[in-house]
Formats: sequence, C-alpha cells, structure tokens
Amino acid sequence: MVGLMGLAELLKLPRWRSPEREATPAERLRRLIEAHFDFVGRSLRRLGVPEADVDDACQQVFLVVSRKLEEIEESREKSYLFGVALRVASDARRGRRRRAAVLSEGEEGAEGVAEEGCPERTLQQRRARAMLDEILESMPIELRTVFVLFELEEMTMSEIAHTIEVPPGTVASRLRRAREHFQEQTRRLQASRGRVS
Amino acid sequence: MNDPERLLDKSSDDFERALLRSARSDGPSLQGKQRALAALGLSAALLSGSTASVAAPSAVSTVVSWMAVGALVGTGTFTAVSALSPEPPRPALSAVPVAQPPRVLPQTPPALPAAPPSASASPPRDLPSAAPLAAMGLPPPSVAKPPPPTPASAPPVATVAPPRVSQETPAGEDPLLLELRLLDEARGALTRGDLATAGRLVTQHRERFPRGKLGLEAEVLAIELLSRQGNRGEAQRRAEAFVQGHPTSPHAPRLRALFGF
Repeated sequence: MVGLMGLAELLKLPRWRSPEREATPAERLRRLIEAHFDFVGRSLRRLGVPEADVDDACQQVFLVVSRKLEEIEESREKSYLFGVALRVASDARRGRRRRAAVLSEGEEGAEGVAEEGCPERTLQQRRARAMLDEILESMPIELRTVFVLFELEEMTMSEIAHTIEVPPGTVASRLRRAREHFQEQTRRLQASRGRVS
Repeated sequence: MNDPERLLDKSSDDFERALLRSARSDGPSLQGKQRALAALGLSAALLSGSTASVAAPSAVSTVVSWMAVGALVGTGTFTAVSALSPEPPRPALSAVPVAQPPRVLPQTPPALPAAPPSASASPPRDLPSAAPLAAMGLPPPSVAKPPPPTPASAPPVATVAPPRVSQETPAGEDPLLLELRLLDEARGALTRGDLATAGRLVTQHRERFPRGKLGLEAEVLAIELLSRQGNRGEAQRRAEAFVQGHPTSPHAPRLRALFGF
C-alpha cells in the first residue's frame, strides 16, 4: 500500500514540480530575459519608444519585473511583461512629447533620419519605418496594441486576448478598427508624401 | 477564433506592405540584453545559449550589480566558478593578483577625490536600489556596507574573494565583455568597501574605454563611489548632471532617490 502511494506521489511529480517552481528568483528572472527580451524590445519600439531608447526601456521593464516576480503567475509572464512594457512605453511617449516641445522642428525632424551616404534601400527602409511610426502614433493606444500584436508580432487573436486580458470579440473589433485607421492613414501618406517601395 | 489573414500577406498595396515590413528589424540590441543582465546582477556566464557562448571568458568573474547588492551574489558565484575555471593571467590591465590581499594605492584616482578615512568606512546613505534583488530573496543591502575594521585576531572573511583585476586583453575578445568585467570588479570592490580599488578600476575603465558602451554604468558607479567617499556634494552634482542628460535612463530614478532631487 505504501509502495503504491509512493508510486502515486511519484506520478504526480511532473504536475507540480515544474522547472519554474524549482527555479530561484534569479534563475526565473534570467529565464524570463532569455525568453522574452526580444519580444519586449520589439513591443516597446512598436508602442512608441524611439529606437535609441529601446535598450534602456527594456532594462526598465525587467527592473520592474524583478521587483514583482513573486506576484507574477507563471502562466501570465508574457502578459505581465507586455503590461509593464505598455506603461514604460507610455512614459517614453510622454517624455518624447515634452522634449519635442522644446526642440525646433528641424531638430525633431532630424531624429531617425539615415545619415548621408546610406544605401538607397536603407534610406527607404528608414523612411518607411518613420511613416509607420507616424501612423501608429496616431492610433488610439487600445487599437495600436492589438494592431501591433496581430500584424507585426503575428500573435493569434486568442493569444492577444489572453495577453491583454480582453474578450476575443473585443480583440476582433479593435483589430478591424485599427486596420481601418491604418489603411486610411496610409492613403493619406501616399497622397502627401509619395510612394515608397 | 478564426483569425483573419494578416495585412502583410493579403494586402495588394505595396505601400502598406512596405510600411509593415519596415518593422521587421525592430528589437533591442545584444548589448542591451547584456546591459540589462548586468543591471540586474545576473551573470552573463550563467546564461545558456548564444549569450553564454559570447560571454564565457569574462563571466566567470563576479556578478555585476548595479543594484548595490548584486555583488554579494557574485561573490559566491565567483568563488565557486573561478575555482572550476581558473583564468589565465591578463597582462593588459594593472592588477591585484588573485589570492593576494587588496592592494590599496596611496592615492585615489584624479577624478575621484579621496575622502577622509572615516567617511570611507561609513557610507552616508544606503543605496536604495536593493529592492529588486531583495525581492528575489537575496541578502539585504546592509550586508553590502563596507566591513568594519577587522581586529588582528579576527578570522578573515573566507567567502569574500580579494579584488581581482583583469590583466589580459585577449585578441578578439569582445570589448563590451572587457568593459563588463572591469566594472564588475569595480562594483565588487565598492561592495566590499575597498574604495581605493574601486576608484582605480573606474578610472581604468574611463581611460581604456572613453567611448565605452557601459559609460553610463561607469558614471553611476563613480557617483556612488564619490558618495561613499563622503564627497556628497560632487556626487550630487554629477548625479544631477547625469539625470539631466539621461532623463529616461533606468538609472535616473535610482539617482533621484539616492540624492533626493
């Protein structure tokens, strides 16, 4: 009997002795960085953090997460990281607006422009990225979030619903509106700035 | 839920597709990842995968900690790992050899004026940045204070390794990792209260890597060192300049908290 119970206990082990549970906080944090650092960086960039500030913003996200590790459910780690990234990006956007207010238009416009001598393709790529920034910047944040996760991060709609904790129908609705906004803005840009390839 | 086709796949508009494609190169840099690991006191050597292979030679050193207590973790890690992986001599940097007591220079580095001995033994204020690692179950920051003068009869602190300064610059080694190692050792010295060694290492970093990728981290370390040396006025001046110049840096909130501005 004891042997059978022992066996039963052994059989249960994989259910509750997951590697995450055994990991120390430092190991868990390290694993989070390994698994999600790039995702966090891409998300920050697409949520409005300037390219030059992405590394610092990433660091800020993981600093915050390191303080909250015990509160983060293992099944919701990515969701939690994205939530922190949203807040950090929001702060960065506000900071950028403040800086823009004291910069001349010329200085602000020079930001992110490819330096002289860059190959044509790189220049076009940078122009396209700047236009995408402009369009994303004009999107309400709830639409932008869904658009970024679906169209750029290529997450499924159910993954997005899980990540941002909204019903699937809301994700679908926001995506539809975000696409309308995106297409309207691309048409406007095409009309005003010409095409890029 | 049936997902719609993505715009990049279904759109017939080249302009739309070009805009969407332009986001493919988004993301952080490898250096950004290494800096984050350093800031969190996580040794690059302990990582698996590509980062570990890049970092392997340098990461046997102590854990870099910008969180004030990370070096405490590193001490143990260093002791254990370095026993397994002895490093070759490093002639490029001036050195305090392994297994020898700290070499205290008679003068402090030029940019980091010396403080009275009493000030160096008693930091004016604990660094408030220990929370992240404390939350991870690591020792509290009070342990990171410089040790009190040890009586002659007292046994040496067995687990604290002597300051070890890299002495080699192997051809082809990533300069970032060299920077990381140098600042790592400086942080360890600062945590042990060996302010002279910490100052010398920070100066070495500045001289060897005047445009280094970890320049901001070096400056934060120098500011902390000034504060620990009792030169709080200069430390505050540099902290304010740092925050003004880098308001979005992750170090900015910590410096604001440390100096109360």
